[in-house]
Amino acid sequence: MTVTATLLSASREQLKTLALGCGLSDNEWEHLCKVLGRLPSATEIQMIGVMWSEHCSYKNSKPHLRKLISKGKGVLQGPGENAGLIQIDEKRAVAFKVESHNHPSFVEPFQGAATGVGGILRDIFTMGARPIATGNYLRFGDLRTPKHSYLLDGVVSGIAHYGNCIGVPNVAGHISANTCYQGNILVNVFALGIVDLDKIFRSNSAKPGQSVMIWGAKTGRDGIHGASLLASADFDSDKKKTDESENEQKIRVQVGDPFKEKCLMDACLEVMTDLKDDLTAIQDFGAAGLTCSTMEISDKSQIGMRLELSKVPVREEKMEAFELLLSESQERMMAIVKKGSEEKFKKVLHKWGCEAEVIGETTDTKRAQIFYHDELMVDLPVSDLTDPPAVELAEPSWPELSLTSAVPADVKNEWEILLKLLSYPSVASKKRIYERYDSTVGARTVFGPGAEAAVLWIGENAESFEGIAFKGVADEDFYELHPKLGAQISMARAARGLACVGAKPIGITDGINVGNPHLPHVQGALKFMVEGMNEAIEIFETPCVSGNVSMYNQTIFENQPMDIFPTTFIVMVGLMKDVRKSTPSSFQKAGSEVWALEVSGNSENLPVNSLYSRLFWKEEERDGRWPFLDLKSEKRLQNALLAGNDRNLFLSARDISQGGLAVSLAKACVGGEKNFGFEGDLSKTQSRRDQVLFGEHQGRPLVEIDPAKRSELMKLGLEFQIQLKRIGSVTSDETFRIGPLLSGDTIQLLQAWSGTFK
Amino acid sequence: MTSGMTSRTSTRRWAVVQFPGSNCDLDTFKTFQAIAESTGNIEVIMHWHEEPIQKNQYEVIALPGGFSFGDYLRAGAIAKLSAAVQNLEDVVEAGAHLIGICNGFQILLEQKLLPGYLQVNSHLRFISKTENVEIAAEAFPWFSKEDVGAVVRYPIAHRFGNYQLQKIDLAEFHPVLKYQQNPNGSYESTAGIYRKLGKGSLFGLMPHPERAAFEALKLADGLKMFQRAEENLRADRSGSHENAVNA
Repeated sequence: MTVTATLLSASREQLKTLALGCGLSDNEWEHLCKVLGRLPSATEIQMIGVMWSEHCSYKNSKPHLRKLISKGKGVLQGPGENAGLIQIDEKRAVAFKVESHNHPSFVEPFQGAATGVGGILRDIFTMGARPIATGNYLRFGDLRTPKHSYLLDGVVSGIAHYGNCIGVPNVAGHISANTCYQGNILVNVFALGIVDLDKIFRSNSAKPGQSVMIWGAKTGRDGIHGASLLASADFDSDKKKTDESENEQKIRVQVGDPFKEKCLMDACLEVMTDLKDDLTAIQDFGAAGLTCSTMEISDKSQIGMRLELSKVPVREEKMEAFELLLSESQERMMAIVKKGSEEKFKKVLHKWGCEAEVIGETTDTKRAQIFYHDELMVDLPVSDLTDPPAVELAEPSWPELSLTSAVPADVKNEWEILLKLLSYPSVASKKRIYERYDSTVGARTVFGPGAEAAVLWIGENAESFEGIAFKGVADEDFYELHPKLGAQISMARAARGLACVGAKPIGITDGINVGNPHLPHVQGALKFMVEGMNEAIEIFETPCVSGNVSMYNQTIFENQPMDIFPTTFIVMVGLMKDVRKSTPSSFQKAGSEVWALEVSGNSENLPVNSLYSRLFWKEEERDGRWPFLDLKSEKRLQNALLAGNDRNLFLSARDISQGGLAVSLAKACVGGEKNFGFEGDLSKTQSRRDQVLFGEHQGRPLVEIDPAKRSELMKLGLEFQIQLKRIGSVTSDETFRIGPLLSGDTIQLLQAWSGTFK
Repeated sequence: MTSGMTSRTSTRRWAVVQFPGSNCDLDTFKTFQAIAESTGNIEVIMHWHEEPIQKNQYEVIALPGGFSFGDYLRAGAIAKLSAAVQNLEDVVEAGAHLIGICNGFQILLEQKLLPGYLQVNSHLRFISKTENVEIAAEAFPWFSKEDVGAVVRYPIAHRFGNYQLQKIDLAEFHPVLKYQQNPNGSYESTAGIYRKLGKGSLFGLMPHPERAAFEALKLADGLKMFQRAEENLRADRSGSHENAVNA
């Protein structure tokens, strides 16, 4: 039997119309017909439509992503599998990845965000790793508008609902607001797990003559065409996104069941231990469901598959072949197991209340042959069709930076400005939000949300103290200024945050979010962000082992589609030998001294492109200059922080980032369990007041030390060639003073900082 | 002392009952193991919910936190039908000490083994933070007389933690843990309630001492509670053993 038998009356023109409706270009349609040597069937067209969508194929970003440095010490798995892997000791590796769920979350925030968490956790346990932590990185439009306050609440509720139930702690995150996200919010979720080296699973290790099983939930009609039509369509060239009403789009958003996923996770981890020799390959059902799992395992393992769709457990009646193939029903896995072992797997999966059915077998044909009630619906040569034909990319470019000779007046009302900066969404306390996430389940959380970086204890028994840390950063304003600079500053801040808590950076995952890839500046953003990351990766020795690209993030602004600022979340992972030494980020003790560690270098004597300048300078006073950054000195600074941490030199350590020195000091006073005052003297400084207080000169963390350890700190500075500046002292009273520049009550600082998110 | 008696006294079994959807099962297991490693003769068992529990099978039984069966109906409402929790009253009367933490507490309330009920938190949101909790009364084996009055720090993480009572028979039930700053609207800041029953006991609480049981976490107040239970039970066993020999 051949597929042409199923074509019956469909004409070439009808099929082509279907193909274009599924998102294929003219060129892709021709390519498909040529490779097949015949007309594709309607079912095949729908499969290819999803596989070749931007979301699944990365066709518009691959040429850039390929250049990312992904090899390095300890890397066991780079990009291409479900998650990256870096070896952390002689027995174990860490698996981690960040992923986006922007488009579904804008349409249906609760389920969109919830299934985002579900998807990234599946990526981790598919590798054989038990997930031990998640983080979430969110961007909204104006949070004072009802729409975005609704979206924030929906996204947070969705993350809390899924994460709390499944029992993986949510230990870190970041939220900010910018009008560029008014029509397109960002929801990026990170997950990290630990895996034993002898229990790592991949999708590239299946052999012919083995059984193909589907595990987990039953298949329904949810999420069909989510990948091709929600996540891969731009506003003008594909009218689908704008023509469909929001309600019509909602049915393309999947619905998550965290309990089902928890059972699937526990079942998978159980068979990965007890039946590990019988399980040869595994792949989760992500975008495009059964289609992508089938093609990915077949392609990566260089095999074929013969599947019978009527064996798929379903929860809806009369589902058609294309629906079974495209459904994005959550909490499902494809597993390839040795012949004869199927019943053993079923027993464990059934114990956990999961479905487990054999739906076919692997073959040596390198073709995906899919039957429905014995009728051949799909017969595709896998490797020839995994990737779409190369697309012609726009020439990358980025606007020239403009400079101005305007010199804005220095700051006058320092105290009010400090309060305003503290209440700005990206700076303000997110306590009311992260208290809705279970951050301590798992009994591993040393530092949870609110710390400079999250720290998790991964010792195997009560007497071993190894830890793992992570920090995610994306400063969209710097990315918008220049994507290369944005990537470097984000990399530097992530690494500094890790070094502040005492963790040595080992690798990154990147969550890239950009606009319409057909535009030159979006290609430029990709190119420059990769360049920026690579320069930092080389110096910091932090290879990129996994990542995600989300495109077509656009906002309608004055009836025109407007791309979001390029926004790449760098989530950096670090290691520490002894979590008992980890350094907190808020002040600990009255009477201790506060010093700034600073890498030397020329800096503008103006707080250029600081948060302060963006909020308080006139449009014509702002320009394309950026704060000082030097990656090589950053590395020295990281080493100094790590050495100081190892010598128990610091009582607390905190980076100076958005809002500058004043904001960082204020947060250190009121960000801990106990509030402290601060008494500082900067009367000797020659710089402008706004630069001193609010400038964002990079490479300048604050450390709190016992006065008795001053000489040890001097030694550290000399050793690593880091300048030291005494800033002031921690006090037990309620005054916050940076003499002679500003002074006020700490209670006002606390109110300003904690009043934004309620 | 005969060898038979030695083996009887040396087999102390502490169990964690695992339901589908339990998510503090491994944490509680890890904590029990830490106790077992420091004392030797305790065997720690993960007990699947479909298996009934026999009298005298375990010295300590934990119903862990989590979302048993997804808690889509009412927290603990499905788990109370599991075989493992059907005859808990008899098992406790015969001498087992049962601790229900968070979702485990919810299951004990559904079973009506402890009084009262849990509502959604007064601010209607899930809340996750570390709370100061006062030990308000003695509760064998968990808290001894000298522990009373101490303030300990335990994490909380729940949405249905607002513990309400119509009236309480203080002769039978003892509020042994009280929040210093009531985070969820619980009746008289009650964080945990204790009941002596036959030779055993029941202890239900919302905070998570098992998440505060390791030096690595810089939070080990919970470890003290489990250590206290181990010491008290060991002393009790050797005491009753001596009594048996003397008799």
